[in-house]
Amino acid sequence: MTLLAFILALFGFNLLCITTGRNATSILSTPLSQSLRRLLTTCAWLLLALSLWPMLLKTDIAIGLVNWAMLLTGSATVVIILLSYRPHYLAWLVRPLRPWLS
Amino acid sequence: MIATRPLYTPLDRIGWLNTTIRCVLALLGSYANAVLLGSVIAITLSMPAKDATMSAIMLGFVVQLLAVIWVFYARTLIGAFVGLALPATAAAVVLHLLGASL
Amino acid sequence: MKFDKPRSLRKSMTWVHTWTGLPLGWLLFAIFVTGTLSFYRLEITQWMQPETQQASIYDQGQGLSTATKLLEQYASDAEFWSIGFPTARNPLYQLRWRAPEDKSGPENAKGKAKSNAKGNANGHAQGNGKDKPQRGSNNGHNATSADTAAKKTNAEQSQPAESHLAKGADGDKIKPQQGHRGMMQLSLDPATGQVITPRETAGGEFLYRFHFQLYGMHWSIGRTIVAIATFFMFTAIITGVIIHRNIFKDFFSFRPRKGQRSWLDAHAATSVIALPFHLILTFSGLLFLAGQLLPMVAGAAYNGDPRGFLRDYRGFGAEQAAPNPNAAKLVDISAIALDALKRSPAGIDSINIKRPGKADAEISVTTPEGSLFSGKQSLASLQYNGVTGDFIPATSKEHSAAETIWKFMLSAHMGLFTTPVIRALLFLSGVLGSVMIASGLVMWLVARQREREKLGYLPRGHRLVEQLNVAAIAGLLSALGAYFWFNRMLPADMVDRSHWEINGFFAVWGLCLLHAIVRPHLKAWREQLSLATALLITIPLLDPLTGGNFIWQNWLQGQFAIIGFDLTAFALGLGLLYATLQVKHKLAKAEVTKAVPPASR
Repeated sequence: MTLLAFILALFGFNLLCITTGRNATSILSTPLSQSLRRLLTTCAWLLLALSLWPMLLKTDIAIGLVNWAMLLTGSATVVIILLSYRPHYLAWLVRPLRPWLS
Repeated sequence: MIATRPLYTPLDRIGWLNTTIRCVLALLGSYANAVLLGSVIAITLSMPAKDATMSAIMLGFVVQLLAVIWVFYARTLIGAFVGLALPATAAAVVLHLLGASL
Repeated sequence: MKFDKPRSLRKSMTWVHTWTGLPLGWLLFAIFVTGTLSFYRLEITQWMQPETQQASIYDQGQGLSTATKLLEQYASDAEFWSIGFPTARNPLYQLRWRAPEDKSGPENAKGKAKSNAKGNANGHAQGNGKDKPQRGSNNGHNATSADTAAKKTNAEQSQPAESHLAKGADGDKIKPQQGHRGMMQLSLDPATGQVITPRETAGGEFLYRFHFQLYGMHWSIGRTIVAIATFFMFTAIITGVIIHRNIFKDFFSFRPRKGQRSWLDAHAATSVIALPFHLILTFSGLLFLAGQLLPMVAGAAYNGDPRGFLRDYRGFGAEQAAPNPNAAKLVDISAIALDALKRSPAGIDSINIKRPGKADAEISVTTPEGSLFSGKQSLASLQYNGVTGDFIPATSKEHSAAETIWKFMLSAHMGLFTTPVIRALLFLSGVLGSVMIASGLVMWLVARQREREKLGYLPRGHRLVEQLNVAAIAGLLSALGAYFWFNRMLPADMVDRSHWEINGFFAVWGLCLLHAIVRPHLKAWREQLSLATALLITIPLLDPLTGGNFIWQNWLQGQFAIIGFDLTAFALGLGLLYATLQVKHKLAKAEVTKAVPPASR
């Protein structure tokens, strides 16, 4: 369950990365259109919010919230390290979406 | 009672004095506000004493923070002072009326 | 900062952020680092007591019956027994008891294998009246110096044999050790039931206590200082969020090796990535220490008496029933344990017995089921009657929103009910927070580089910040490494060794401060970082050479806590090695280009 939430959060942060202009170029080869960027940003936030749900399945809300916050921290750390040192790994993570991105 | 033009005093003009006075105001005024407003909240909330106190302590810290931010945000020293003094005085009056001891 | 001119909120808040962050940043770094380590304080204590590593993988074998027998033998008239079961974080049975009328008796610290009768006589004579066991004013260590003085002046001194008591009257050399808050303790290997006497050490507890009440001063002073620092931290965080306009644009950019920009990125990134952690832990830190900062508010609803709030909070009734002096045989603990295991398949954390051997004995079994509300440590507990062994069902209580939020914050701060993964993430967030503070401190100097160049000399204030930065960051980490080294280097049966470990910690820290004062800035950084690196990176070697086991041996034995410690110390050492190399690189560059000479030289 934690793993699922982690993966969701990872994708969410990743998408957030991609959509902010400064970083898009280091990940994807082609820039995105305005509307597509807004759509991806919304999806990214939704993914992050959704990552809360698996954390609540086993424990009550109080502990689940703490775990979720920690999870966000963990996945954000991973994303930012990749972004700073190996941006193309992030591109690999969204490879399935590539047909829609161009 | 919001002045349309900021009320500057000679104290405002002296840079280091302005800063120092704001620091003193921030330290003392925020604490006074936290204590006074917190006590009022603790006494006046209709929950059991334990819960009222917990709420009051939590809100008290938030009040203290907001007071600090206010002191440095206010345009004039008078504004900073009044912003602290008004809630504190009101709270002190309420406490006195309720006959509470600190 | 021109407060008389119109200025944006952002500018004012930047000023506030800088001047709440900098003056207390040095202390806050220490608080953050010790706090982060406290998440693993049980594991740290384990590492610092390598004798415990001879215990094999924990199992709940015949330890329980031996535990009961030992307690009956050594603590027959104690008021309170506690049997801590072996867990992954603590592989031994921990027996604790509070000797009667002898709340903090370090005279007993070197252990008497004799019966408690003699211990009681001594305790009575010493008559230590100054402690408040509830609030833990002593952790057994602070009290020692005063008590040693009292001990020396006491005419009824039957202590001269104390230093020879290590051998003990009975052949098996069992010596109860001084625990915390005046409790005596014994540790048992769960597989064999044998008593293990680990070396006396403060262990992770020292770091934990330092974190919220510092050291070397009365606990209320220490806590007040920490409370004030916490409020400054809270202000710094909130103003930081206000300043951080592009909270996601900037967050996702970390451009290494670009000078000031990189420091700013590091500072912003580490704060935003772990922002929920920072917010929750700082605010809950304030709540923990509300007794120091806002006692009037706590007492407002209780006619000015904050102790009323404390009593309500802890769930004590207004009156407590008078203790029943009649003796009654304690029920068989193994039966209680079996019943408890049936009710709580998650296992047992500890069995605590109040007033054993009396007619009103109560047994409470704590289990690892998470619950924010029950009991002192917020572990769920099952209550039993001590004489008949009957289970007493718990009465459920309503909890208000305020109390839920409060307890949630406190539990999150202490990392209660966390799985190992989440605990590791909490630790990671703490590390990020420490980096946040350190990068902020360094950034203050880096951001003013141009000012210094324009001035042509190094202002005294800047020099002070330079010195304190080195001492507070690299010095603290060196002191930490030294603490662990002292733990292994000092002989295991040395008298008062826990004191000496702590003294060593502070001595090294003090020396680092002196070093930072006299050495030039970058050289000081290089040297202290090298020291810290050397001390920490060699811990996986120090461990097996001084009483522990090699990593593969620990792996085979299942001592994962020890492996974790060794590897974390190593990783930290690697990080510090990287930093040292960066500083060396910078020094080499500075030698080549002409640097701005400081005025004081």
